[in-house]
Amino acid sequence: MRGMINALAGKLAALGVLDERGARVTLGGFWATEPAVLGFVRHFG
Amino acid sequence: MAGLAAALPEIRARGAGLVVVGSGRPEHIPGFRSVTGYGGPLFTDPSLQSFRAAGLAYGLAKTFHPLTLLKGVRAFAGGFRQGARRGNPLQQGGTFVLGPGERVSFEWRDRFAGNHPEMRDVLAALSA
Repeated sequence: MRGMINALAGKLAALGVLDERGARVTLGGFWATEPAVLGFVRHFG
Repeated sequence: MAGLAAALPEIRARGAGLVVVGSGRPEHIPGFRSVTGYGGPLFTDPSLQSFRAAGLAYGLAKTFHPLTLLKGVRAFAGGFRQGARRGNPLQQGGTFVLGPGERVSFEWRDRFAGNHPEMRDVLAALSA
């Protein structure tokens, strides 16, 4: 089974980010049932 | 971002999704979509809390690293043109492969501006 259990995934899963309307979205939903690539970009542009 | 967006079909072919988080204001997101053509999940964290939780680098030395100039010249030569920088320029990025659940298959923290992972390594983590 790929990957290792790591506290990082759980820590990031609990955090919220904002969509383009300023609404809060919890990150964890994106990798709860399937893997996801999470890319942090320095800035838009 | 360009590398991630270009790899999206391969990421999806491996049964995974792509989520991108920036540091600009929410109202900057539509413009970024327009410039990059990226239509997937795109969010922002102006507080940088998620960047700190991910252990991502921050600071002047990381932004003005000597290799950053080299990366910039190469990108320019390849046709990339920097648009308006919307976000915190001192904050560095990173790439992770997470899930399902608490699994972590790949971790990359940019050591300086332009220090991105090879997409083949990210994709390999999805295939492992």
